[in-house]
Amino acid sequence: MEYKTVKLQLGIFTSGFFFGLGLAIAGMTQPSKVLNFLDLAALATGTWDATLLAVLVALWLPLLLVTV
Amino acid sequence: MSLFIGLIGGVLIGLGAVTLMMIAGRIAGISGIAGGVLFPHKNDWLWRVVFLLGLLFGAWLVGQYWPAHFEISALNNGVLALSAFLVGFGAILANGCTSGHGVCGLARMSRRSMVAVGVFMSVAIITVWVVRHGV
Repeated sequence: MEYKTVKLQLGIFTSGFFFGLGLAIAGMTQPSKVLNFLDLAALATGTWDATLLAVLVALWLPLLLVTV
Repeated sequence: MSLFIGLIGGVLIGLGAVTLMMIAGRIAGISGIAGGVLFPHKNDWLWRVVFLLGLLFGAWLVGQYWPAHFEISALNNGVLALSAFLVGFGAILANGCTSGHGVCGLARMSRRSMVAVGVFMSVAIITVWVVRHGV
């Protein structure tokens, strides 16, 4: 399906903009951060990176605001 | 601090996914959207390009202020290409990638996405363990 109006396309652009902004701000553009989340051995040494978990939890907020 | 900006980033990602669903009724699965740009169906191309341009613009903007958020991978191009191939192949097999299943799928409480996320997270954790610490 093609979205014909400029207004719709602007909206879709803005969605992508938020998505990219969020990914980059959270540092999910850094492979090392993702790897340090996946490295559970770091739990023992205290160097585990929980950022990805924070991202996954926080992204529920806008959805809950819309659906509730 | 890293956790706090993770929360901010997560809210923005959720906002992007929810607004795309509201405006276009589409799931924000990035690899699927990109795949549809490379292999277009009739009348199903422009919105994908527009979304990806927005995505790149948002990320580019952050890079202007925080260049450290865009690290250059130490891996050689051959390994990167092979990894990217496996990610793309897996995303097609699983009907979605990290963003499609992990962001939109989990938030929609899709059972298929829960299985997909459980599997790829477990395999990724095991892979990192083996690569970094041995068997």
